[in-house]
Amino acid sequence: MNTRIKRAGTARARPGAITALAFLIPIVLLAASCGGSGGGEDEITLEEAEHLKASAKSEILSRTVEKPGGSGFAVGQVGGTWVASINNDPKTFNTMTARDGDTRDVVDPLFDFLADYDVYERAFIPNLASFEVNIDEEADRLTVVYTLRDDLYWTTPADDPPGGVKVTSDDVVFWYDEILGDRSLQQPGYASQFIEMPDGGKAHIDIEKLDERRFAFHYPRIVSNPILSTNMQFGPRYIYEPAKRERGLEGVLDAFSVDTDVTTVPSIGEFYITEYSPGVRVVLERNPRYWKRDEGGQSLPYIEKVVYRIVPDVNTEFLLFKEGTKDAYSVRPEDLDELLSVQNPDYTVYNGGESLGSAFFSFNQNPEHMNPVVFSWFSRTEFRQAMSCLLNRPRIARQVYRGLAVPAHHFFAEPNPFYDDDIRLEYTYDPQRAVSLLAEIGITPDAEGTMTDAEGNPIEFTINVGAENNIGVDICNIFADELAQAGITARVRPIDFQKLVEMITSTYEWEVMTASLGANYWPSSGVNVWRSDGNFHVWHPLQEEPATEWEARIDELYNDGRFTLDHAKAKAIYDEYQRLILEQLPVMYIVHPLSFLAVRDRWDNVFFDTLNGLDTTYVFLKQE
Amino acid sequence: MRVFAQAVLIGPLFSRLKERYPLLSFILTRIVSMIVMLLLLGLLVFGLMKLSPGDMVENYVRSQMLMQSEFRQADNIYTEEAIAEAKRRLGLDLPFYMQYGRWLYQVFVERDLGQSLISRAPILFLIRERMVNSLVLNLISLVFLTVISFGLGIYFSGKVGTRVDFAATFTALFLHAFPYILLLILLQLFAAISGWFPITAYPDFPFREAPVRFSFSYLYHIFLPLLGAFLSGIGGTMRLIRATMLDQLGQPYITSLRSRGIPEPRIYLAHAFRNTLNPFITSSANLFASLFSGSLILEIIFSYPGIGRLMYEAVRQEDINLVLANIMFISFLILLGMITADIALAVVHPRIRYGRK
Repeated sequence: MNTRIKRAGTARARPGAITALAFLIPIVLLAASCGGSGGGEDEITLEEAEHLKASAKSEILSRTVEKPGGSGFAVGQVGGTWVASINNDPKTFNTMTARDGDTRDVVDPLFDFLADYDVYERAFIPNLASFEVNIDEEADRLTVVYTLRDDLYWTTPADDPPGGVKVTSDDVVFWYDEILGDRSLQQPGYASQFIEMPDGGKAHIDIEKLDERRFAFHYPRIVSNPILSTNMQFGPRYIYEPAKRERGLEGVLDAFSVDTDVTTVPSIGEFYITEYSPGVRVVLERNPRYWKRDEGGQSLPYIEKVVYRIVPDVNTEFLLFKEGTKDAYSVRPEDLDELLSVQNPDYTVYNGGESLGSAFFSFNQNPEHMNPVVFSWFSRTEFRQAMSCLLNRPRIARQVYRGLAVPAHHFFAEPNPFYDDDIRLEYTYDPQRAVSLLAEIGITPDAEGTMTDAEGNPIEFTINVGAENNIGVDICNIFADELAQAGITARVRPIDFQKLVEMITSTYEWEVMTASLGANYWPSSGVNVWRSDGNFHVWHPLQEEPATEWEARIDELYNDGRFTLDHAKAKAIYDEYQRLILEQLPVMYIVHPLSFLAVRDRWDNVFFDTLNGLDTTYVFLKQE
Repeated sequence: MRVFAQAVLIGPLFSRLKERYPLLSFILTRIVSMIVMLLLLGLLVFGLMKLSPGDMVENYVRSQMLMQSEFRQADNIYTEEAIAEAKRRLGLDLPFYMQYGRWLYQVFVERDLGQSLISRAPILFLIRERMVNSLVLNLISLVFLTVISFGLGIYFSGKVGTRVDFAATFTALFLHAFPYILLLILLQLFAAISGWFPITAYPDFPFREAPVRFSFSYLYHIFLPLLGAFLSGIGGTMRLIRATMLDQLGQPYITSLRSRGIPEPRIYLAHAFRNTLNPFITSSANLFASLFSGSLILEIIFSYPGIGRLMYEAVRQEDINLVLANIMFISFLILLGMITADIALAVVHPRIRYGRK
């Protein structure tokens, strides 16, 4: 009897178990994936939420480490494998054609610059070459003489040719004239070889070989920052020159494609490429003949091997870091909490401070391809100032970045030599002031509270944002909400990023957009953005003549600043330049998010800040 | 005129071949149809790529213009002439059917798959290892799915009407309806949280470094992706086998066999099972095709170095040479699978090869 009951029970249990399995698989997976996050929460007031956010912010920051770089590197030992990741396969090993970030990550460690820039001292320092600037004020001429180090060699992992090929002035002169200076090769550095003359014409900056180690750049007029525009990386002449001679353009473009035997790719930099497995990984190994040494005379870098795993998905990169198979991870805001909540982690999250760049909003002022009514609003300075007053930067910092961002109130980035804390945005969040500014140009609320212009047109426009940019979409929604409270309708339109780029650079059919630019690190950087004839003068590109007086003045100040050596005079120029942009607001910067980097604790000499990033040259494996 | 004469000659020759060697003529017909299909497919792909706005050169110029901090109207190195010259050099200025013709000439006459327009690397180098990787993964999936779904389908066909059958049908339907992409993401998160499995589907070192270790590591790495492919495919395949078996078991010849006292296992395996082969062979070819199509998602989520990922990148960058080579290889493999299935069917079922007769 007992046996029968038991068997029957078993028979009933089996289909039940299978049915349960059907539910169990996804439920187990879902439960595991959710990671045991908490249950429901009681409703809280807005004030309580703000207080919680503030305390959460300080709690988060207290669990991160601030360790800015600059000095104090300990002497280390060679060894260890640093595992990093890239999202795509490298497209080439040819430094001339390597453009995308992943390819540059792999190729850059094979090369080095003539001069280095000390971001903390704000000064250029010798690197592959020392330099001397000679100024002839009478003749309005300037010459920069570079002297290459005597211990520089192009070497390969296969040691072919044996002992390497000595680097001479001919390498630099060839690269400057025949590669960067060949218009048909369409190199990004081509335009930098010319400067504008006082008469409006253009003149070439010539290079001259002085001897095997010395070469000079001759400027046709005095410029304020000659090292910036002549500092460059260069490739091996002994490979590129015959390639160009024999096959011309195709010869140099075809050099070092990804099917090349990587052990034949020469390096003058910190690493060699020693392996490339398509779709899997790229391996770099330290170049023992790299010239840079530590205080103890040990050649740098300390890291023996760098493995770049090719991981197409950013989320997988994050999981790899959590799994422990990746050594550093640039932390996204949404990952921060998770990384900091791990008990006894084997990594440290470094707080690098405010990022130098910032996303911005821009209102189209290009009369072509635009609704004339909308153009009539956007082209008014008061309108843009009002929009800036409705852009609630503190709210964006709180709600989108959970307080881990600061409002962007300056035009130049902090390390810019002409940054001045007193020159700041006047049109910060102030809805009342926005209403007054709009009223000055005849835009007032109607009986229903909708803002209308003098002709009775309701103020409404579309904000375009890259669809994959979730944070950007959130920011746009907050801006639209603030605008709605002021009686203005803004439609947020997430679109494909390529489409957004096409709108900005080709069709110009947009009203408002948000995107990001690099930091205004150098006063003279961003000529393609700030000058009215620039292709990325977002709000009205490629102007034949400046469309407005203020744009003409910006062009003038930009040019004057580039050619003014005297710091005090240059500062007066750049002060006006910053003030004008912050007054006219062709772009409205939003916030500077804090920057975080997680690095495994097995590495020493880890310093991180937004000025210099993480300098892996000095990073070494801790001794157990 | 000559073509007409040739056609007149080939026609009777083929009829004679069909009469004397029906299987051979069947195989030849399938191969010819496969070649025609591939050629048409290539033409269609070329046409579709042409329909998308811009081309590789325009996209490249646009991205370079954004990157160049010194670019201004006055010193434009990307002049209209330079862009036109670049297009001419790459053959992008020609109508799509002429570009396709040139590509066919290059591949079949000069026996050169050409270079990627983006990386300038030989296409063969780019696709060789990835094609092998995708093929290996999909073949392993196919074998597992085939063997296990066959076993389960036959087993559950004998349990029809029981609770076990109900549970199995429910599970199969559930798995069949569960979104594949979500399943893969959940499996990856499961791997990350449990720590029992790697979160990528391929070892982080190459085969040549340590072949034996690589092989074991490979099996360990592909376990979860295989499980994903298996769970997502098992429902449909198992239900097909079960339904076909049930259909066969209801046939009068089975009743006749049972009445003659033939043992049940023999009825299942020697008679009913044999007759389930036809639909199964056909569905296997479809399964292989769907595995190849689905592997793109798997390759991206689990960082598997297969052909799907490469093709995704190539399409995004409008690298037409690479897209075409990829499409042709994948389509060739899928069509080959289908033709193999057709031939296997013709061998198993001679009536099929005689067509209308």
